[in-house]
Amino acid sequence: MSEEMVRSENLTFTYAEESDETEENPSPSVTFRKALDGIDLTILRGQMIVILGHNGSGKSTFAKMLNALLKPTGGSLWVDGIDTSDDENLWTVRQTAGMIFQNPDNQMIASIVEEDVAFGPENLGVDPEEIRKRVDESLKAVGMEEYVLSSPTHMSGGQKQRIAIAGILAMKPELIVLDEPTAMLDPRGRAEVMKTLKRLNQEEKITIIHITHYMEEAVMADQLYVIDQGKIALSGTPREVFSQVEKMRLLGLDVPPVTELAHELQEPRIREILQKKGIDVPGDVLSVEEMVEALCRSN
Amino acid sequence: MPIELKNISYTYDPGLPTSKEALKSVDLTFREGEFVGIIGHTGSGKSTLIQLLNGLLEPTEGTISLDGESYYPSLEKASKKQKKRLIAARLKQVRQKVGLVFQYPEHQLFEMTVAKDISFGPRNMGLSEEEIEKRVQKSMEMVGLSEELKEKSPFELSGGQKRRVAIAGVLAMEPSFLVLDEPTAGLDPKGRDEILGNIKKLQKETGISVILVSHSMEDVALYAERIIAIDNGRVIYDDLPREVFSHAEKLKEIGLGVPQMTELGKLLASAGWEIDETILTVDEMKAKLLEVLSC
Amino acid sequence: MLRDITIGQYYSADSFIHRLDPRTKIIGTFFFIIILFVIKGLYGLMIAGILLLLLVRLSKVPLSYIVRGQKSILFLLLFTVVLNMLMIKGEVLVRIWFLQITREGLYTAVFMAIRLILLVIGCSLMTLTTTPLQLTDGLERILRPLKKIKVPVHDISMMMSIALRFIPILMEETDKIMKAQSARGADFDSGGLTQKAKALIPVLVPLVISAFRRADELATAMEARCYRGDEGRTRMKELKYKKQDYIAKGVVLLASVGLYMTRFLPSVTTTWQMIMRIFT
Repeated sequence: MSEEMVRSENLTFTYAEESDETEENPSPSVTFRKALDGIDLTILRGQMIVILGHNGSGKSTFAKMLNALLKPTGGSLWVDGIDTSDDENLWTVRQTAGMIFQNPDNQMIASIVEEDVAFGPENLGVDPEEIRKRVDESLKAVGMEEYVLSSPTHMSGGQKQRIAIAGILAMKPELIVLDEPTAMLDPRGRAEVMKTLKRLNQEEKITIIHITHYMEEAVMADQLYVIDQGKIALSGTPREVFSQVEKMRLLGLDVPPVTELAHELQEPRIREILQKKGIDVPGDVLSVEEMVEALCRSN
Repeated sequence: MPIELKNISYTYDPGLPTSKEALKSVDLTFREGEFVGIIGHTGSGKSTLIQLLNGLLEPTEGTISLDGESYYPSLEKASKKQKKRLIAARLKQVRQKVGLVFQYPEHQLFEMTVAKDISFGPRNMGLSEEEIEKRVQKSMEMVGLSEELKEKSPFELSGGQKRRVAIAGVLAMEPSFLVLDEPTAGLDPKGRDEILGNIKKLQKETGISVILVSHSMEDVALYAERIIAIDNGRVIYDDLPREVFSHAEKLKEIGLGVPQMTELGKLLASAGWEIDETILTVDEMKAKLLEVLSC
Repeated sequence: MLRDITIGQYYSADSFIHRLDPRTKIIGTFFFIIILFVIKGLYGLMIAGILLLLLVRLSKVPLSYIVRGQKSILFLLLFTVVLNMLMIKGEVLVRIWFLQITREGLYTAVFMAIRLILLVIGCSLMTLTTTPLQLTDGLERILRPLKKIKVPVHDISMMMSIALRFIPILMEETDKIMKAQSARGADFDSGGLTQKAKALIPVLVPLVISAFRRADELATAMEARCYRGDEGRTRMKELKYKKQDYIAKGVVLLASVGLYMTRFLPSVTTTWQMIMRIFT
């Protein structure tokens, strides 16, 4: 087993867009739009990765390529050492890199929890007893074991997403890619999903690639990538990325309020006042606790 | 022209085993020109509340009135048929005055062009073509949609633009109250700031009342002038944001929270800093820190 | 209103009926439907009704739940009743203007209504106690011989099961869209038929668009979970007939024959006349 889970080299994806027929332009022309434009990255096994970027930045395209739902139109992408552009690897890639989507209702195939979780392994042709075992284990891993026989219809969004995650776990993936899984959830549901992901990453050692708009979720990552116009605009640890407040704003993204405050406190005039009192607030504070500590150190 | 709710209760499926009391004796007043934030976790009763405001649900108990006149006038002398007709007319009036924008409102778009979709509301009101035209123009401006999009199909637009079209569709009815159920769900931070900024501007400039349902404490702290917190079908707080967010413990207990700066303020206070008021925003916190440190 | 529709919805419980092989239930329901159409006379229907009630009890699905689901066929039911009552010629009981209700018409109307109700309850009982995927598997196995003549049995079954899964979601969505359009002043209640039909456009267009979007997303999600049709697919719960299935099948066969025999019983009216004759 190599240490590399995902590697991409000059990865490019181009959409062909047909323009509408109009009076001025009777013959529709085809324009090409680059959704991804030369992405180079390496993601290590067991990492928790967060990808940020505004809508239309190309991050969903990248997610779909990891699952071979889209194939590179240029460059290469390897998942667990497997070339995703080779048709022969299609099912191996999809089994290795499980995928969770935004709308929990639109990714559930069955009306009963256990049947839905079993759907993946059934497609893989796993033995019935083994499927049963995997279904029970996966539901336990996401804390939904008491709902084996329930119908998801009246469940909360957070519960539905956890069942979807169980459905992927039952396929024994190495990597789980989540495309804005928390966008349609309330804070409670978001917290549930994040707790589950953290646990899977730390205890089951599954590599996680999580796409989100929520900064408080991004803070939990080992490594952060910001995608803008199909390119990697920023990358690094959350601390490194969020401390670049101005750049993040230019990219149409947020930083946590405490980080913004820390950034504001870097103004020379204010730094001077702080220094007089013997306080040094670094510009890359990520949590409230850190901020309290920094402010109280010598106060 | 306030909306007044007196002793309002609402029960789903009354009498059935599945019956559920979603709201319990709620008393509320929404005044003109306000920006009110409603917070509460899923299932607390807040979506029932906004449907009551729009007359989509009839309260099981209590009275709801707009401008002192009930949504459901008791017409003792009228026949059943007359009564139905009169109440329908009254509700039509109410819905025009109290505009409701549902969650993911772009899912209700259906017309061939943006302009036609926006004119659906005004047309239902029976306005003249000239007036409709004027209102479409005005409401597109209000939500920051450029005029050239008018003849485009709403389905070709981006997610954020679609949502603006849907909001414009409600604004075109020129309501006095604008009720929004999580208008920023699913948008990216930039889209979110733009929409909320737009709504705030609208409220300041036109004096329209805004009632914003949100899951984001940061957003309500930033925009609302008054916050209503709902838990388990009851209004537990109805006060200025600063007052409501001073109850951090209770809010956490019911599955909500406080803005990050409020939390920071509390922690600093307990660590001996002289911060006795509730802080809501980064700017406030910065000013307060400077004030404390300068003396 | 729309939340009341229970057609095709699964009711989670642990009962003898729930545990039966889906094939047994499909075949049983099939027999039941045929028998309902073969039966003549109210006796047969009454017996069939009693048997059905017993099955409902056995399934642990509350009767009130099933009955609530019948609301959706109310219109169809009324339509059948009225049509039969007015159209069938015979001994006139009541005459209003040019409409007349005959004894035969009344009898047929009641008969048809009961038959329709039993039919829907019977079918609901099957779908309420069988999950859509089980139903699909069962149907697929029963129709397997058709595969030889290149009928895409698996795909048809899969489509059916997904359709059932999405009924409640689309119902909820319809409700939501109707409310959203009402908030914009749409009026679904007043006006003539054409006006009412026109008023539905603002609901139907978004609904269809949403259905397509959902279908698209679901297809992607299924592909992502390695779905590639029937090829190499296994099942967590393989269909196997157990002792209870043979018992159930035996009971179904016996009941069918028994119900068929009711054809030869005298009709209710003749019985009544016979009883009257004895007493007078």
